[in-house]
Amino acid sequence: MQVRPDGFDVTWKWWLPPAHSSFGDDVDLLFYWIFWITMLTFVGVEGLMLYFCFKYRRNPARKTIYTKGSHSLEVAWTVIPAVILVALGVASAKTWATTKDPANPSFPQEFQTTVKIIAEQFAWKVTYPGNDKEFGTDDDFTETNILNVPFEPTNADGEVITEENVRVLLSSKDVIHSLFIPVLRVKQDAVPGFLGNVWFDCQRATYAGPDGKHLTADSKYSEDGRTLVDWEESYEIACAELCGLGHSQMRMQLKAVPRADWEAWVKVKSDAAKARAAGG
Amino acid sequence: MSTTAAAPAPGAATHADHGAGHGHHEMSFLRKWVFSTDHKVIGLQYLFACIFTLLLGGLLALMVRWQIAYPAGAKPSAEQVQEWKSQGLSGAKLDEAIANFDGDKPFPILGELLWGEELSKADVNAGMVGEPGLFGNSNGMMPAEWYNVAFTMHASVMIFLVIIPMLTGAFGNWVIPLQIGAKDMAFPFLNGLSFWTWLSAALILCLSFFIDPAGISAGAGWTSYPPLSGVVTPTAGPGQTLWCIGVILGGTSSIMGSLNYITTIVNLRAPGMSLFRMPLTTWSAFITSILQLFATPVLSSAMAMLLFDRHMGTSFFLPEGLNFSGVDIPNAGGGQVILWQHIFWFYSHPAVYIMILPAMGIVSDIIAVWSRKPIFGYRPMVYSMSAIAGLGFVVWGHHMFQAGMNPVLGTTFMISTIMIALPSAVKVFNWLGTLWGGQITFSPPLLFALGFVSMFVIGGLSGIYMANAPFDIFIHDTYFIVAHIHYVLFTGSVMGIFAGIYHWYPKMFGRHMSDGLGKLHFWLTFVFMNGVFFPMHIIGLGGYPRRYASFRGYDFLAPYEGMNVFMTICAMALGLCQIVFLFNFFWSLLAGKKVTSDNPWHANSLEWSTTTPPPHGNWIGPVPTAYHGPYEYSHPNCKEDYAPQWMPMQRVYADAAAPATAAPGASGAVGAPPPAPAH
Repeated sequence: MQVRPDGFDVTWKWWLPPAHSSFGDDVDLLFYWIFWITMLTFVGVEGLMLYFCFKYRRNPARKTIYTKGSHSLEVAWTVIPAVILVALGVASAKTWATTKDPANPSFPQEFQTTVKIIAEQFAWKVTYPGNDKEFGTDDDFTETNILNVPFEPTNADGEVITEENVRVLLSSKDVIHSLFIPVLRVKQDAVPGFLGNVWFDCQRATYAGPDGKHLTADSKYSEDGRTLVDWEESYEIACAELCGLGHSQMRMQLKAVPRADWEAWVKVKSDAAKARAAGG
Repeated sequence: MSTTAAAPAPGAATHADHGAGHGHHEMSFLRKWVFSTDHKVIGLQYLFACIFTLLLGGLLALMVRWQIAYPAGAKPSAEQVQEWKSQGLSGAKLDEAIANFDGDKPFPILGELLWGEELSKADVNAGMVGEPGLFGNSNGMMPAEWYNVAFTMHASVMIFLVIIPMLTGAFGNWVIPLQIGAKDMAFPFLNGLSFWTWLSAALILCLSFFIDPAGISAGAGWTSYPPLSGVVTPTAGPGQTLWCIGVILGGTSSIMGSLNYITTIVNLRAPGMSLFRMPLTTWSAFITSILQLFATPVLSSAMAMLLFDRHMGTSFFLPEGLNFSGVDIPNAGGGQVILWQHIFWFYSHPAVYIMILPAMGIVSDIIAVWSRKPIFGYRPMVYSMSAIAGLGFVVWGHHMFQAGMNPVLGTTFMISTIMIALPSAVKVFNWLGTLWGGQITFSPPLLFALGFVSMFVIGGLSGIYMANAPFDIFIHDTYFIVAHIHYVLFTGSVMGIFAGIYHWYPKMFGRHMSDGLGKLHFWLTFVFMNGVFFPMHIIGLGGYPRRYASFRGYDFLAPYEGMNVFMTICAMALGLCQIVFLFNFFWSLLAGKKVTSDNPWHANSLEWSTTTPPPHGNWIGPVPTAYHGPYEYSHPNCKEDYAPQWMPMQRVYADAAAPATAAPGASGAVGAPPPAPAH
């Protein structure tokens, strides 16, 4: 329903949202495989059932088939699904390791950006390491519900030009929350007492405002609420684990911007934080 | 086991004598109908109590649905604003019109009763306050914290007070002894105690609504993940504590019941009733009881630990440094949040099978009877149920793929979870095999059984999506999961429950329910339940998170408003069409057509051999003997299309001298001592 100034409808309906992370398409590919396998099974089984219901409706003139089963059929309909399901499981293992398992070689070895997100009732506190890229120093700064990261540029074939892997150190100070970024196919619980390790990359930059700048204001809608005007687009991040009465209000905005813009923004924020620390 | 089954078990014999002795003395009304130890009366007590709790859980569901479709804070649509503009409104006038826009819809009737009189937006803006309701005043609209209570209690009521007690308590109790030819349960007193423990659990859970002035019962979800549930806060106050106590009591009742069923099935089977001559309803109850016996104590201990964390200063689940809105939690430290999830799901995943296996058993029996066919692959059916039960204990981690569990474990649980789809698939294929070549009569029990099979297919297939760990990243905690669980538990288990009620009603009460109303009930339910639950898949694919009190904060949820309204309307209709069932059920008790035969469906299993309704002690005289399996339908050598278990095959063959004994209505022959086994 919400439309960008260039006419692109940024919301989605009836289907999966667009996937902008490098592993998003792999995740979706598994969905499509499962979708077609289950659809075929569904149509086959329900169709057969309806056919049987019609063909074998009560009719005393027809002789009932007396049978107690068939060994070969039992074997067939156990083994065939087993093979399909195990193949599906094996095919999924790599994507799972890529997204979640730091011990696996397909998990990124290098992160160009690291941020720390501590969730609380009912907000996301995002700490950026600042200019020196180290946590725990004076130039760290914390934003509430704003996650800005550099986007990962790709060429026309979808190959990565410059890696921009973002690592999120994720935890919570009170109850369990869950970081859910639909367009990046990311979801990870923020568990108190435990520092989670989430990573993603975002291969589509959020749309810049008419001034060409990415990180100035929040997005604004036109009066009818349908068209985004004078805005920078942001991807929505939701909380996916029940965290109390404000659960549905834990909305964070993600902006993926060119590295130069991001660094400029970080510098302004970081310098200000450092000045505050020096002043205090 | 099967080697001992040919001869009567010693326990059965003594109990049979005992039961026969019972028949002689008159019991007071209180002893007979209230504090009863008769498994049939206890079964019916569960049945009636569960019909009540079903209404309560259903009402909560409707309130949940209403809130999702019509959360507070409705704004005028763009079209409405345009219309105002075209009417010439602008500037302050337009702002006023927008501010006074009345878009909020309180839940019909109950909204104002619970949350106060609904005033117009203009009155509210002018500072007026309406009459408060039972739970305070929020202009008739449900507050977010109560929405959390609504879905938590909806799930808790449906799981602990409807589906488990209905399937194991009502059907398990009523059917098992009759199907295996026992005079009663092995421990009749324990059986009664189990019901009263369950009832106290139900009362405590219901009471939890009224202990807080704002009606804040448990609101941390039925999964009650700590720390949300583990720390006493205004939204997790006394209601949460009562909830834990209620669940412990419910679990205790389950443990007592399952112990009883297992002992009964192992020891009290009639002569000839070997394990592999038991009907699948009894098999499913047997396997379910084993699951319950192993899993439920784990849940009870989890609840006890949670109570200790909340009230006694322990920190099983509370890690160091916990801070709620600036307040440090003093006892927090050293606990593991994820430990709760492991313990909880170690029970609660098997619990999902506790809630579906008995329905599978019931449906198997009903499909065989109403298509006049032996169950296709009887032993594979038993083995697949056992496999589901066994695998059910090693799949709990799939609830925790995104919880921060070691990713290697994630792979393990993905494979085990995918494997559990197999036995379920085997069952579906065998049901199809049973229908194949039969003589299908579309009675209400069969319609509901077919409804179960066709909908269970959807619930089973959607399970594969979330078993797949990488794709689960996206759909975890979205409406896709809600769709899945309701396809399994509502369009699955509840269909099984209805099928069972329509099937055994004549034997339970000696009267028939109306066939026409039963069919009407089926078709209305079938249409509207799909209207409620199918779109949940779609909004789930859009990433719609579950347990959201309001979609209004998110751009990406806004497009789903229309679909949510549609689901809510279907839910209201689904609720209303259950009136057809209630009317049919209660009206038939008084005025239903009286049964003319003890075996009106020409079924084979032993419950149809006794008088209707079965007397105290189940059979007048000794228990029947089981001469063969329970699924001898349409045997080519038989004159009739069925061969009751209590008749030797030779007597029901077409050329036998006494075909009359197998004919419907031959109840005179039924109470008589069974002839000696032929071999």
